[in-house]
Amino acid sequence: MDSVAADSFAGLVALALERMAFVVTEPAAEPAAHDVLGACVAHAIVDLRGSENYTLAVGATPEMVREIASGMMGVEPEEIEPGDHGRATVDELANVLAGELVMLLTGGDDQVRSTLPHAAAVADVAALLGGDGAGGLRAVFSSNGGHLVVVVAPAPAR
Amino acid sequence: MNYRILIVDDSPLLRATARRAVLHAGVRPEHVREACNGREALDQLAQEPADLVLLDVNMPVMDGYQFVEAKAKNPAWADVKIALVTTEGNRKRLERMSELGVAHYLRKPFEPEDLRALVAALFHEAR
Repeated sequence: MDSVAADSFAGLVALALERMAFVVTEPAAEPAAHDVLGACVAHAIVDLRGSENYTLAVGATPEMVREIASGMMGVEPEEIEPGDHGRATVDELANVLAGELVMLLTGGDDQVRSTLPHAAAVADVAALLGGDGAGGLRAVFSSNGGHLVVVVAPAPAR
Repeated sequence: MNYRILIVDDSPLLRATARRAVLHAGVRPEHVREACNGREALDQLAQEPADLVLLDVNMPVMDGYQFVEAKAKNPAWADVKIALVTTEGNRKRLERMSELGVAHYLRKPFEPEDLRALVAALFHEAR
C-alpha cells in the first residue's frame, strides 16, 4: 500500500465512522498509536489474503466505543458500557474497514478475501505498529476524547 | 399486518442497529427475530417463515452464501425475500446471489436511515 492508497484508506475510515455512527473525525498526529493501544478496551485483527496480503488491526478506547456504539444503536453514549460493547464494536468496525480495504485494493474483483475479525492482544497490534516505513497505514482517529487506532500492515503471502 | 423479519448477523451491535431500524420502519417488535449465522437462520425459517431476511455474508458456522444456496433449494421458502446487508462488494459473488434470488443489497458501512428506508419500502410494498 503506497502513501496515496494509505491516505485514501484513512479517508474511507473517517467516512465509514461518519456514515455508520455519526462520528466525525480524521487522522491526527497526536496522540501516537503506541500511546493509545494500552488504553483500548478491545482490539481486533482481520487478515486479507489474495493477490495482496495485509493485516488490519483496530483498537478503540472506552470513550470511542461509547461514541461508535451509541451512534449505531441510536442511544445516548452514557447508555453504552464499554466493557459490554467493546468487543462487538471493535469487531464490527474491523469487519467494515476490511470490506472497505478490499474494495480499495480490488475495486470489486475476486482477488482478495478477508477473514472474520478475531480478538487480538495489545502486543499483537503493537508488533504491527513496528513496521513504520514498510508501507501500510498507522493512524489514530479521535473524537470527544476517545481514540481509535487503525493499522494496516503488509503481510507475507501464504 | 404481520410482516415478519429475520435479522441474520454475527455482530450483536449490527443486530441491535438493524432491529431499531426495522422497528422505526413500522414492523411490530414481536415479528422481528434474530439469528447469529446462516445455520441458525435456516433453523428459524424451518420453525416459522419470514417475509424478509436481512442477511450478513461474512459469518461463522454458515455464511450468507451458504444460507442463500440452502434457502433456494427449499420451494417452501420461495416467497422469503432476502436483502444482503454486508461489506461484500465482489461483483461475481453478488451476481451469483442475484441469480439465486437476492434482490436487495445494502453495503456496509450504511447510515441507519438507509436500512430503515429499505425495510420501509419492502414493508409497504407488501401491504
